[in-house]
Amino acid sequence: MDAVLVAGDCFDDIAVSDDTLRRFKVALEPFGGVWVLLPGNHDPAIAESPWTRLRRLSLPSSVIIADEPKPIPIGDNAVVLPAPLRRRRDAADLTEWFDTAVTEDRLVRVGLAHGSVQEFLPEGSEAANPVAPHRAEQARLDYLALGDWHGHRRISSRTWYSGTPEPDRFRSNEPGYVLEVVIDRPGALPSVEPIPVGQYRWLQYSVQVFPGGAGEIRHALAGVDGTPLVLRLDLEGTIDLATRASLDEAIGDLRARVFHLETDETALITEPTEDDLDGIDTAGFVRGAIDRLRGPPEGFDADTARRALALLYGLHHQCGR
Amino acid sequence: MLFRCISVQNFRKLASPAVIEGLGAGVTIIAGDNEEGKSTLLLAIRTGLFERHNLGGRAAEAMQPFGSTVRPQIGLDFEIDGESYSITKGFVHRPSALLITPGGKFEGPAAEERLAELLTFRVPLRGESRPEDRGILGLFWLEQGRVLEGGECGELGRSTLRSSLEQEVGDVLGGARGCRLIEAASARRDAWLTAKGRPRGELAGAIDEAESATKRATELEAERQTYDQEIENLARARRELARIDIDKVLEKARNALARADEQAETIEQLRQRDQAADQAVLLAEAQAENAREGWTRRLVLIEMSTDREKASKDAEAKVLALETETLCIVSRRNEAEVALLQAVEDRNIAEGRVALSQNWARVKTLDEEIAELDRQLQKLDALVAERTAAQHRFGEIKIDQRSFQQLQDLESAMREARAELGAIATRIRFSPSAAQEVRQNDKAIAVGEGIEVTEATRFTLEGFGRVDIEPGASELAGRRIRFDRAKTALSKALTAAAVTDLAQARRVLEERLKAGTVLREANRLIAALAPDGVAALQAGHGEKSAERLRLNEENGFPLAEHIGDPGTELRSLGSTGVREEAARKTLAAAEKEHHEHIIRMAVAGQTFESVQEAVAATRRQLETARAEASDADLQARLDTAQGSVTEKKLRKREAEDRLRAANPEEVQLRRDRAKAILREVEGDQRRLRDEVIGLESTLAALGKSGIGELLEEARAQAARAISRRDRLHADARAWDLLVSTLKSAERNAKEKFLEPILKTIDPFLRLLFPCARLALNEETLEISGITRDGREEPYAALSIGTREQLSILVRLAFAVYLREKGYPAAVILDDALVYADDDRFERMQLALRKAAETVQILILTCRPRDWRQFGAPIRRLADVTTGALELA
Repeated sequence: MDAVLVAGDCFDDIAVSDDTLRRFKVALEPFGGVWVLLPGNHDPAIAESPWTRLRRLSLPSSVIIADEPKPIPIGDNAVVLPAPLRRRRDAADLTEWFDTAVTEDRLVRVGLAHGSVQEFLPEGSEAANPVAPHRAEQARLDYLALGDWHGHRRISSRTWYSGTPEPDRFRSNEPGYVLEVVIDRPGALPSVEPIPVGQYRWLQYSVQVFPGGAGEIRHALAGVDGTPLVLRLDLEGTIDLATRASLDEAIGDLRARVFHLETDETALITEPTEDDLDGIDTAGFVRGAIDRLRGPPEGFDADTARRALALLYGLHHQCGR
Repeated sequence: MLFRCISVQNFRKLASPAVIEGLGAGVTIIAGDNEEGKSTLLLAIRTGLFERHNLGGRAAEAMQPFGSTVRPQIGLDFEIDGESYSITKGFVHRPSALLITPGGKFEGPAAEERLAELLTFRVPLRGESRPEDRGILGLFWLEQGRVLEGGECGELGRSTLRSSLEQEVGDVLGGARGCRLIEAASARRDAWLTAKGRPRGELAGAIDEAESATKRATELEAERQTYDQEIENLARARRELARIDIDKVLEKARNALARADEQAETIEQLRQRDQAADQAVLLAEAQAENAREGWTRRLVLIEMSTDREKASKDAEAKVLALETETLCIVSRRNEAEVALLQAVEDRNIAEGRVALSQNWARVKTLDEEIAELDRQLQKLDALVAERTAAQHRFGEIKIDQRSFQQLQDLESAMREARAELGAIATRIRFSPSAAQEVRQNDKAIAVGEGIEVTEATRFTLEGFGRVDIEPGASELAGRRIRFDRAKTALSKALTAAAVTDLAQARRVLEERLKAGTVLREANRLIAALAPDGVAALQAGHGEKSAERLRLNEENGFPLAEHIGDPGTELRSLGSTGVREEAARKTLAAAEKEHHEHIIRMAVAGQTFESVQEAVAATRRQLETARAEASDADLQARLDTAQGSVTEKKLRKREAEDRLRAANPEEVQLRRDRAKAILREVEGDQRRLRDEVIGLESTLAALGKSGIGELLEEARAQAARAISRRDRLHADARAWDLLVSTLKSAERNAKEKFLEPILKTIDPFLRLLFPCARLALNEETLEISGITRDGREEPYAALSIGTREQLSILVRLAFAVYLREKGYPAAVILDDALVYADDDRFERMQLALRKAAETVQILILTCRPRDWRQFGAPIRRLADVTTGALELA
C-alpha cells in the first residue's frame, strides 16, 4: 500500500487535549507507510489547530499534514493534490486549483478534498465547502478522495466518499467502512472496495406502541447479532397503565442487553382506562381520589395527573391487592 | 338488653348471697357504702357473662372470698327484644354453666358459646377474658377509675360499631389497604419533597447536579469562546504581520523618509541663501540710514541756527516792552495804598462812635434800673414797718383759740351749776300793791320780777318789815358751792386773760387773728419784692450807681456832638468795613501785578541772554561741521547709499522666490509624516510579534486540556442532569398530587363514615356543651378531641372532669346508637361523675335520662343522696343480701 489518505475531520473539534493528540499519533504508528492527513471542517487548518500542535509533537516524516494547497508526491508513482479547509465553512470550491496543477504525466494524480458534491448527496447535507461534481474529470484526476459525508458513497467511477470508519450517529447511511483503492497506472479506472471496520452498530427504531403491545419492542431486536449495539427507540402511541407497566419492564430488559439505549417518549401518552382504574380499587376513598385525578385537579396539568394515576396503579400492585 | 335479676354468692366481697330483683327499664341506682361490694357486683356481672365457668388457676381462686374455699356462684336474668334469658354459673368447685333461652337450655361450654353469640362477644380459649373479647358490652360497663381511658372497646367492639356504621354509609374508608397506599405514597413523596413542597433527597441532589452541570458547561462555553477568540486573534496578528511584509510597508516608509530628507537638505541651502541676501539688505539699509542721518543732522543744524537768530530778536523786543509797562503798574499800586489808609481811618472813627453810643445807652438803662430799685426799697421799708407792728400786736394778745375755748368751757360750767341751783331755789315774786320798795339783804331789788333764793336771805318789805327766808332743800348747799366754784374759776380765767367777760375775750381773739393775717401778708410781699433779701437788693442798687458814675467819668457825658443810636452807628461802622476790605483787595491786586511784572522782567532778561548764547553756540557748531564735510558731500553720500539698498532688496526677493518655489512647509510635512509612518509601522511590527508570541503561548497552555472535548462532555452531562432533574421533578409533582388527593379523599371519607354516630352524639353533647363538636378517631372510635368556639382541643388536654363526662356521653351515645340498630346494649356506671361540679352533674343526669329512654342504665354509687332528685329507684346493697341462693 502506497499511502493512507484521510479526507478531513481526523478530529471532531480543534480544541482537543494533548492526550488525544498523542493517542492519535500513537494510533498512526502501526502503519509505517505514508499518511496524508487533510484538515476538514471540524479540524480546519486555522492559526492554532490540532495540526499546528501535532507538528510540535515531532511527527514522523511519513505523516504528512496536507494543510497547504500544493502537490504532495507519494513515492515515485503518484502525487496527491490536497484542498485543505482553512476555516470551518468556505463558499469557494477549494479544489479548483486542481485543474491547473502541473504534474508529471507518469504520475497518478489523486485529489484529496473535504466538502459537499451537492447534486449527488441527499437533501439535508451541508451546503458549505462545495466541490464541483466533475472535478475529477476537469482536473484529469485518476481518483478524487472525498470526506465530509459520514457514509461511504460513490459519486462517480473516480470520485468516492469513504465515510467514517466508525459510526457516530443514528443516520443510516452506511458508516463504518474504509475504501481500498487500487490504480494501476495514470488514466486507468480505479478499483474501489469498501471494507467494514466499524466496532459498533448504531440503530434507531420508531416503535408504535399499542395497548397490550409492549412485547413488540423485544421483537424489534430479534435479528441483532453480537455486535455491540447503540440503540435509540422513538416510542409513540397511547397506552393504558397495564401496558405502561409492561413497557417499562421490557425497556429495562432491553437496556441490559445493548451497549447503550436511549428512548424518546415525548410522543407516548399513558392514559388510564376504566379497567385500569377498576383494577386499582373499587371501594373506599381511593376510588374518590382516582375520580379527582381524572379531573384533573386544579393547579395541575393533565400529564401530572396521568402520571399520578400511573404511580397509584404501580403502588397498588406493589402494596398487593 | 334489660337486666331483670342479678344474683351473686361467694364471690369476692359478696360472700353472702345478694339478689337484686325487679330491675326495670330506665335508670336504677344501686347504692352501697365503700367496700360494701358495688364494684364486686359489676365484676360479678362481667364474670357471669364473659368468663368461662371452668376457668382455673389464680383467676378462679381470686373469685373466692378472701381466706375461703367456697364455690362462687353468679346468676343473671335478662331480656333481649322482650324475650327472657337466664345464665347461671358456678366456679372453682364443680364448675357449671346453664343458659336458659326461649329456645331451650344450654349447659357448659355450649351455654357460653350461645351466650357469646347472643351478646356479640368472644369466649376466650384459655385464661381470663380480655377487654377486646367482651365486645360492645365491655364498652358500656365502666369500672370505677377506668372511665377516663377514652373509650377503649377492643377490636370486637369496634368491629361491631364499624360494621354497623358501614351498613349505614357503606365502605368509604378503604380499610388497611387504603392506609398502606397513603403511607407508601407519602413515603415516596416525602423522599423527594419536604412538608412545604421543597425538593429534598434525590430530587434536591438532581437539581443541584443539573445546576452544577449547567454552570460547568456555561463556564466551559466561555472558556471555549475565549480559546476561539484567541485563535482568531492569533490569525489576525499573523495576517497583519504578513501584510506588513507583503505590502513592503516598512520599506516604503523608509524610502519616503529618505526622499523627504533630500528635499529638506535642498530647502536648507535655499534658506541659507535667503538669509545671506537678507543680511546684505540690512547692511545696505544701515549704511543708507547713516547717510540720511548725517544729512538730516546738517539740515537740523542750519535750521536751528536760523531759528535762534530770530528768537534773539524777539527776546530783545519783549524786554523793551516790559520796561515801558513798569511805570503804569507802580503808579496803580501807590494809588491803592493811599485808598487803603483812608479806609482804615474811617473805620476807626466809626468804631469810636459805636462805643460812645452803646455806653450812653447803658447809662440810660442804669438810670431806669436805679429808679426802680429806689421804689422797691421804699416799699420794702413800709412793709417791714407794718410787719413789725403786727408782730408786736400779735405778741401782746394772750388769748388764742385754745385759751378762748377754755373760757367758753368755764362759762358753760358756771351756767350749768347755776341752772342746777336755780332748779331747787325758792322763787319769790313781790307784787306790792303800791310802789313799795323791797330790799334784799339791804339791797333794793326790782319788784315784779321773780327772785331765786338759794341761801338765807332777808327781804325788807317796805311797809311790811323784814322777811327772812331760809331755803330748806337738802342739796341746795352743795349746788350753791359748785356754782360758786364755777363762778370763781371763770372769774379767775377772765382776769388772767385780761378781759372782763367772754364777749371781750372773743373780740380780743379776733384782733389777734387779724394781726396774724397782716403779718403773713407782709412777709409774702417782702419775699416777692426781695427774693434774695433786702440786703441783696441794696447791694444791686450800689453796683449800678457805681457803674453809672464810672461811665459818666470815662465818656464825659453828656456829649457835645450828636451821636446816633447804637444801631445806626453799627450800620455806619459796617459800611466803613466794606470799603476798607475793597481797598485792601485793590492794593493786593496791584502788588501782585507789580510782583508778577518784576518776574516777567527778570525772565525776559534771562531769556534774552540765553538766546544770545545759543545763537553763538549754533554758529560755532555749524562752522565746525561744515569744516568736516560740506553740505554737498553729505548729499552725495546719501544718494549712493540709497542706490545700494535698492539693489540688495532686488536680490533678496529673488532668493525668497526660489525658497518659496521649493515649498519648505510641504517638504517638512512630508518628512514628519514619513517619520511617523516609519515609527508606527515599526511599533506595529513589534507589537504584533509580541502578540503572536503571547497568543501562541496562551493557546498552547489552553489547548492542553482539550477544551472542545471537555465542553462536549460537559454539555452531554448537563443535558443528562437536566433530563434527570425534569423526570424526577415530574415524578415528585405526581407523587405530591397523588398524596394530597388521597389524603383529601380520605379526609372526606372519614367525615362521611363518622357522620351517623356523630349525629347520635350531638344531642347528648349539646346538653353539656352547646355548639361543641366532638372528634372521633375513625379507626379506634376513641375520642380524639373537641371543637369549641372554633378551637380544636385534644382530648388529653381537657380537664379530668370534662374527660370523664365526655367519655360517659360517648358511651351513652354508642349504646343508644347500637340499641337502635338492634344490638343488645345496657350501661353500667360504677361511681361515675365523681369529678363533676353541680351544674355538670345536673346536665349529665339529663343526658342519662335521655339515654335511659332507649337503654337500661345501672348506676352503682356510694353517694345515693346525689341521686335522690333524679327520680329513679334506689336499691341499697345492704338491703338485697339474702339467705343462700339456689343456684346451679
